[in-house]
Amino acid sequence: MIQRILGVALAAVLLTVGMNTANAQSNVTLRVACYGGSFTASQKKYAADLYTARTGVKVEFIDGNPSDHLAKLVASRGREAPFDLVYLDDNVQIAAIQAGVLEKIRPDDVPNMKLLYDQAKNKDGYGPAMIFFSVAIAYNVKKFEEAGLPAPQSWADLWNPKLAGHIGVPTLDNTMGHAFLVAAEYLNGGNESTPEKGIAKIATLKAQSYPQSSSVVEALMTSGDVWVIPWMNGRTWGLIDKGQPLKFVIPTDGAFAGYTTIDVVKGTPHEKEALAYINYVLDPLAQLGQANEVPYGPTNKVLAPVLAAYPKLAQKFPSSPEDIAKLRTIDWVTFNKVYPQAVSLWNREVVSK
Amino acid sequence: MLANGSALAGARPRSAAPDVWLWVLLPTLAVLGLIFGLPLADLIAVSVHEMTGPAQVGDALTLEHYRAFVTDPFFLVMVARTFWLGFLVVAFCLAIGYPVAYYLARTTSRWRGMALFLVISPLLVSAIVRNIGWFPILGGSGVVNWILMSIGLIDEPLRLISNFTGVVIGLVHALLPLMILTLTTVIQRVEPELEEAAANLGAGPALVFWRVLLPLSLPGVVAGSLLVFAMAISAYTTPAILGGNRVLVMSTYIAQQFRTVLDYPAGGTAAALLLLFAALLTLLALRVRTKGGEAG
Repeated sequence: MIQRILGVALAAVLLTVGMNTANAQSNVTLRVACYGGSFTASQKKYAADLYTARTGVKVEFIDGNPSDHLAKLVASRGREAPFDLVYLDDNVQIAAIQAGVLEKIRPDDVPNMKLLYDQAKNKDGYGPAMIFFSVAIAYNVKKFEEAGLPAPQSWADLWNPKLAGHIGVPTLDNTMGHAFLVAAEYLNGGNESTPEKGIAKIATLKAQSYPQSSSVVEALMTSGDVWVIPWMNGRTWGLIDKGQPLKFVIPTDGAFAGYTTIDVVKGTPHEKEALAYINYVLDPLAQLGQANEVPYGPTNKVLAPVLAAYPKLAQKFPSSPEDIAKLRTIDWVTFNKVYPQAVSLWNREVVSK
Repeated sequence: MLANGSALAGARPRSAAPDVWLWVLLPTLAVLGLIFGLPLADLIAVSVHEMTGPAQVGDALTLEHYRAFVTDPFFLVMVARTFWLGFLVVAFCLAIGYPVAYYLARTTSRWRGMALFLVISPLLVSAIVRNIGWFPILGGSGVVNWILMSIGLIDEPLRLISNFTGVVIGLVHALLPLMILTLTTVIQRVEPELEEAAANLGAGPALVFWRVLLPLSLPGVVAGSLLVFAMAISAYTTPAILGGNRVLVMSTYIAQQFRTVLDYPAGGTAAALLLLFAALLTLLALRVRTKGGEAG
């Protein structure tokens, strides 16, 4: 249903564009660093194409890994910026801010910023979160039933000895791994500044493996080697929609918030156009289209009542103000400061065991 | 020495004046220098500077990263693990590859083309697909464990993925074609008449292999082994996927430092040392080869 509404809306908007601003012309091409795959495709479809049709400004996506984008930005400091805009993971954005490669944004320049949840706004005035996702527990219902195990309810349930050898632990390279480390830190009486507590706790798990990518998680879940893993909502729902016997549970002590940010790159010659593009990304239509194609939660709160009317879609991501308020957030500045130390401990105490 | 001018150095000229070949090589060398040498030089330059923040490198020169690396048993064990992996992969590739290469070199069957295609088929699949394809085969309830349990050889499933064993299996599969192709080329140059002559003089098959075939195909063995070894110790995808991120080798450590910790000097140091160790080993192997060749 929502698919059809979106299709009609997109067609209608593009039609009005065609009538009103058929002669929108510009020589500018925005270079936008993005993730690739279905994410770039949906950003192109619901934000970039519309933006180009209305303003004449062309958009070129440069796909890659967020830390690779950061590396390019740092390498080009003092010279011409390699992109005008960049989509980043939450923790990478913090590193980029510290490296001084991003530009602050005045909310007045991006009208849709007013419509965002407070959690989506950057406290220091950098780029906002354009989607929310959650890191919680994905588990195989069939395997749990066969083993006579109750469904996991809290993070602590993952330390059930019966899961030894059957639990996957996301490697410390990705957002899921970061969130699970923080979960373990708090379970062991610590916080973001005490990676040793989290690592010691994780080291007591007998993990089957430490997957890094969703394709590997899919293979391990399908083969039955992994029964349960802390993972993100979007990819897990992708597997559920394919018919895998999985469930995605929000632990009683809270799922972790993950988000993707969009920023203007310092030194871009097209700041005005870049700000206008961000406004399109935060627009309700683009946000709803994105959520429908790749199940991540919109950060534009105007959509909450719309999503409430489509529970089948809304259950796949944090979609209501209550959901979003309940997400646990990570103190990334502290986390990043001790991250090299955390990885070193991880290599020595978790991987090498 | 009969089998000289081997596959190892296709560049070794047989007749033409060497300086002509140098001119022919020049464009290739220039391109390699630009796209390969320059970034490597940059990498090594990064490794002797301080890290001043994520993805940031300071101006001050330091050898601290090298000191930290070579004085820490953790890293030395990691280097040893990397080379042990390379050694095992080479050993299995040789043991499996030699008979296949011998067959391919000697057969006149019309199925030769088909067999050759089967040999190179792992090279036609993307690394990620090839690795993930092993999961249903090697997993706890995978084909291999199912067969072994059905015939009663084992009671509990063997752990064949997400560990060192999985990485060895994956790399042997991926690199076997290189070994077989290299060996085939060299074995083809060994005249079958030599083997027949040895047999006529009373040597059994084992002795023929040991005293005639192996020495004459040694250049191929060394070349194939070096190639496979270099690829195995620098492979990233297979250790990452089939090792389940439990097997920390040089390549996975380097990737981790560059892509997630964003500690370029630490990653650069490990990369430079890997390059150095690999170069030393290659030189050693080439010396052994030359000596072996003279003795043979």
